[in-house]
Amino acid sequence: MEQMPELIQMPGKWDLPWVYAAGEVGSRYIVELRDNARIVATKCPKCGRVLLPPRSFCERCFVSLKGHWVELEPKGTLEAFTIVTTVFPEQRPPPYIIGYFRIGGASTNIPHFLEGVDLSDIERAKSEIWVDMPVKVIFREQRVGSAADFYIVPLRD
Amino acid sequence: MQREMESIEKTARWEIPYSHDIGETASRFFLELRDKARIMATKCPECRRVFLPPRSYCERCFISLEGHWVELNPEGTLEAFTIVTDDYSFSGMPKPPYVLCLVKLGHSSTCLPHFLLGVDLSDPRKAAQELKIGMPVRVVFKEHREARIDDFYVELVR
Repeated sequence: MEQMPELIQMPGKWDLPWVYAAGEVGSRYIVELRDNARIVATKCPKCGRVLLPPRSFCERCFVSLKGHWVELEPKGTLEAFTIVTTVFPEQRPPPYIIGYFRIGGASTNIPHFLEGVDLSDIERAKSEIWVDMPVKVIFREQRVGSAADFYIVPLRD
Repeated sequence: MQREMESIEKTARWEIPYSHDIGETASRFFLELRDKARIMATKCPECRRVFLPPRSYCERCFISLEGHWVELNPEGTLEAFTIVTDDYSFSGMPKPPYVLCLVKLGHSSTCLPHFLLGVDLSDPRKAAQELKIGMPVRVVFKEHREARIDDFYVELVR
């Protein structure tokens, strides 16, 4: 009988520290969250699209959006979601909901968590959230200049 | 009124440990280092190219090299080198200065990357002048081997 060859597994590790510079436009977005508790986006003067997170140029028109700021209302709709039930390294313990949100009428969606949904019964929770569901943005008391300076919950009437 | 915009920077760190199944061909290469202290390569029966590290198929002929093993002499030539002097904190690398090299061992058609020892690095610039492509090198196996690429070291033959 043929002998199974001894097969080697080699451990490896990527250990990459890095510094991310948010840039002029990204910095303003973060600073407005932190200092003024408001969501700002850039709007293209040519096609009218509102980009959130803000971009420094319009990807369709190739025009600069510097200076073309708009403030967005802190509410919107849930565009897509996943109820996460698996453990991922460095992520929060499940269950939790990640979603894409259209905030303040922006032309783009932002990824974020959806809070305020009872996940003790996942099957029941599935029937309580749906695409196009209205949501609102709530800013935290303590803000540090991060996407987590606000959280998103269903807008219940 | 335009005030100077604060520039936001975020530090982050990707720490991704993983386990790599190196496969049958690479496994044999490392086991031969550990158990027999010899350098094994694979040779294409069609184009006769010799691959080190060994490959499981020939990239030109697209045929399997399974079973087509050859032993290489543990000596060869220096084909390229870099004397690393800057401490950019490359994770896992030794403290500079050190020499990285490509060497062609035995009758291999390809080069193998490794460190080059036996170079006086007290004056790296002088060392760079004195190292020449084509210089003879030899492989020295360590007493204690663990099926790793550093089961041997490569040094200049003086």
